[in-house]
Amino acid sequence: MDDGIAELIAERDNLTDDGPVQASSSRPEICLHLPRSILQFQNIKAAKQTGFRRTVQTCLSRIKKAMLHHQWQTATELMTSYFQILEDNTTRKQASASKVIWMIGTAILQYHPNSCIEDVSSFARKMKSIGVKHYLKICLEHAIHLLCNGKMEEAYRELSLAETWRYGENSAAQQKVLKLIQGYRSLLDYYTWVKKNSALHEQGDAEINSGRVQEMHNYFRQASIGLRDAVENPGVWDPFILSYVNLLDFYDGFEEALTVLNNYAYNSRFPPNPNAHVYLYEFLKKHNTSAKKLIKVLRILHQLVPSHELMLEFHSLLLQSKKKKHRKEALGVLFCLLDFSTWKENYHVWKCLIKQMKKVIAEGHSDWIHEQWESRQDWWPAYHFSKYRAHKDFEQNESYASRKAMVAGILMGKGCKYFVTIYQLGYKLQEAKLKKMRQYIKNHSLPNKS
Amino acid sequence: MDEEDTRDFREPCERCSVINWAISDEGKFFCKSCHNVIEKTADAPCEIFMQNARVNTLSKGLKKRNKLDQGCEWYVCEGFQYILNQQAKALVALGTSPLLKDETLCNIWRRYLQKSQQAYTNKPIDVPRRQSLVSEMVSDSSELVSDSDVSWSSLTESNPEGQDRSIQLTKDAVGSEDEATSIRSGSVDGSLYRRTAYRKGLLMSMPLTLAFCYLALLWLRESITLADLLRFVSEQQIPYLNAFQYFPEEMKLYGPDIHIFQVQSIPSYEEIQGKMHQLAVFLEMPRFPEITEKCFLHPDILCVKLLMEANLPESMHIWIQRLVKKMGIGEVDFLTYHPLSRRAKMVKYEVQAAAVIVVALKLLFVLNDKHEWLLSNRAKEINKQNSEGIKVFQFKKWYTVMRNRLDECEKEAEDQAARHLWKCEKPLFFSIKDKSVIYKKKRMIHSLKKQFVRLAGSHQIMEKEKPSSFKFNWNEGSLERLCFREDSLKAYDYEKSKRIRTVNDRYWVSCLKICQEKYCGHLTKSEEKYFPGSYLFILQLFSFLLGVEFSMLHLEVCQLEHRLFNLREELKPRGKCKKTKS
Repeated sequence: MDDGIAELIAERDNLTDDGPVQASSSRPEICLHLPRSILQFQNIKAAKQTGFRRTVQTCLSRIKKAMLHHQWQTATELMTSYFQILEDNTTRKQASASKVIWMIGTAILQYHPNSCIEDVSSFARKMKSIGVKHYLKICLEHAIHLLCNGKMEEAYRELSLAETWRYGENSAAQQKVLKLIQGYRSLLDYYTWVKKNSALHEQGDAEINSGRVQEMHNYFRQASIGLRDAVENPGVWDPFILSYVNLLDFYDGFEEALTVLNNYAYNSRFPPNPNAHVYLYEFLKKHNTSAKKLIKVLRILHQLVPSHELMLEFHSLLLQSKKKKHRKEALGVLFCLLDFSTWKENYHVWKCLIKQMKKVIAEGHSDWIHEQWESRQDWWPAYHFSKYRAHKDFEQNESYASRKAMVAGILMGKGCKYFVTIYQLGYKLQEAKLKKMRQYIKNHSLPNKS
Repeated sequence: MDEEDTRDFREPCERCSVINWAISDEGKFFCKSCHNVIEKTADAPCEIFMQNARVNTLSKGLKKRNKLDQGCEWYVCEGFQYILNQQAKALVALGTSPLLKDETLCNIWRRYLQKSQQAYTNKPIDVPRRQSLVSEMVSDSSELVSDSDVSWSSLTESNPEGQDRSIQLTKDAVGSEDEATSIRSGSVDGSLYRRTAYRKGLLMSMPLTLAFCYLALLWLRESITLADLLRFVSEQQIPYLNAFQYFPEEMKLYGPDIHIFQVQSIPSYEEIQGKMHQLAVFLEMPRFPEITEKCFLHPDILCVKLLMEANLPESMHIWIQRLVKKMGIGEVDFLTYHPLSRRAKMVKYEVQAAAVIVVALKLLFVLNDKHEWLLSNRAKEINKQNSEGIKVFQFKKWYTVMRNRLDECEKEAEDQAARHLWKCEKPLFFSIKDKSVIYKKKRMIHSLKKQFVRLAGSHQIMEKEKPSSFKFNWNEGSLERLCFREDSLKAYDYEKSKRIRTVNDRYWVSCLKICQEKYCGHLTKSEEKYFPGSYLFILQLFSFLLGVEFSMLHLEVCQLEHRLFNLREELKPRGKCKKTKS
């Protein structure tokens, strides 16, 4: 009965999802459904379920439970009684059951201690003939399983067979899987190419004959065509892109590789993917492109992932430039990095920061610092400059702590907790240095200026 | 094209398990559906005549392979008759009187055929084909008679001549137009069967076969109750599930027949009881033999069995007898089934017996999650004081033992339920078009099963347990299982008087609202959670023992309480109680 209520509620929720779309013409109709409280207290008759269905359902839930507890033996036994669902009277149930059997069966076979890779293969073969609708998915999954077990050749065969498989009209979903299959097949082609290529290089340049070159080129062609087709579709294709770019690059297709990478990074149909920009940057860097272009790429990456480790490179690139604007930006990059906990205790970043701050102050642009500080002044003191942190930092690394203390001093004045603590802790050891520092802060800290 | 040559090769393809071979140009066999080439090559002569292949294919036509093997012609009611026969045999094998098969059930079935105008009648139903069969039967007997010389078995087995003749007759009558219909259904009238217009009376169905069995059992006052019957059915001691697979070879099942004979679930207690009543009314059966104190179905005797099974002390029986008397449910008129009387009432004998025990337990121990524990503590004290002699029953101890046992058994039962196999080995298909698909699926399932069985190892081949009407068995000998049968209840006997009174005022009535038992379902789901834990457990225990719904037992308890306290009379001035839903 409770299930009945849950179903009713779920149904109701489903209905409301579609509702507004239809009624968008003029004024949307008020959509009222039965309150939950009423539903709960109705004596809903449990839908009549045949004993067969009930059996199959309990069987399935027990299999799931066994799998959850990694009792593969029990799950295998139960599976033998679950196959009867394929004989259900309705074809809809049969179709969904074949999918369930495929997924559960594969998992069981992959984890069962006594099963071998042959078992998985023969199971996949059988499932392909039962659930024709999932043929491609089964192929792909099986190929990946083979790959995981180091059976490259078999996986390749599986994939190329699946690629040529035709059955009725392809649905959109099947097309998608087909692209994936194509992509993986080409990836394996690329893999062979890489292997052969490195073997060829080991042998030395002298022995290369035209036949070998031709063979290599064939692999290249096969891989590149497949990869190009796959990569054209919107999606995340990181390993595929890398292989494709490598291939093109090897055969001097700089322009082509650049277009591919540009497309991957900037095409709005693709989901935003920071890696795309990273790849583009690395590719450009490899080919010694001008700093201006590199900065452009990294600036976008900075917007996507301000905490990316390439930001340090971005920072140094910006500093190399003579422009004032760039130096101001570099300061911002450092501040952004320190917003993230991964960089919180990074010695290098703090060092860079204090170095640059000093430089900025010397150049008389302390308003840049102020600008950065403004949005952070309400949370950085607790985040970076607490008393507890000061003690901890000092224990770990004194020079790091004193650098950080200087930043704190500049930002918040010499009275701030962090600076005071470090000053007290380090007074005995490096009195002169700290005194000098205090003097500097007195002259240049932000609170003094404003 | 190649079917000529590949026809003899019936091995399924190892990749896709289809038998769909063809021969390639090189003379190799390949699977047409998945293009898998195998080692086998075409037979030698074929290769020799390869150049003449075209001539070869032109010269011979294919034999008609698609034609269904039709088997003999049979009627749906004959199918049911066969199943009933099997069921009766199984019941006799389980220890009921042999009269059940040859006399009682046979007569009830004949009466059904007559009432539904399928046979033994001068006015057969309006289907031309039936006439021959009917006229054949009319000669035997024209009304329900007990001393008929045509016994049950003679209808199906020992008189093959008669059956053969009837078949011949029908064949003449049916003629050529039958070709088309019989492909759609194996039986002659299968496709028409479901049309209600075809049957005026009660339509024969698989659940109804069980109603027939129960009716016969009740008539003979046998010791198999309805709950037992259903349990035997689900344990497959009595053929019900896939009963058609025991049909003789010539009776083929196609198309609509499958809907009639295939079973997807075991019917519930109430369903069969309702069907039984319908059937009894339809057959206009007279008052059933009286159920007296000596009959198994009398609450006194049923309670003894249940007390044994529930491991409760025998001395409780005295209480139960007094209760039964007080409530008036042991009287012959109350217990005897009379379908045609104006106030015909079906007694759920075994459920009622369990309910009596529950009421008795409530009287003795209150079962409000408090008093039973206090009482058992007191019993413990008493036992400590006199360590010899008969022990006083301790509810707490009993509860722990039974709880463990019940949990174990419930788990086991659920385990079994999850592994229950419903489908039969025999492939069933609705049309010729499906035939190859169904065969392929069967093969596939078989090979999948084989693979997983191999992986699971060959352990646990369940041996079929001997059929028993006891679910729990408490042997006094075994050590780990405590037996409470000998315990006394003396300590709980507060009132010395012979009259039953509530043991104390704390007795609580199970149903929260007093209402018209006829209209109100008494139990709504939400009520369940207000029950005290020990009462809930006892309901669970007995409903598990009987294999009936939890709520049904509770309902029965409520009804008994109504009787016991005569609630309707007591509360009359307050007016009627409406059907309530909490």
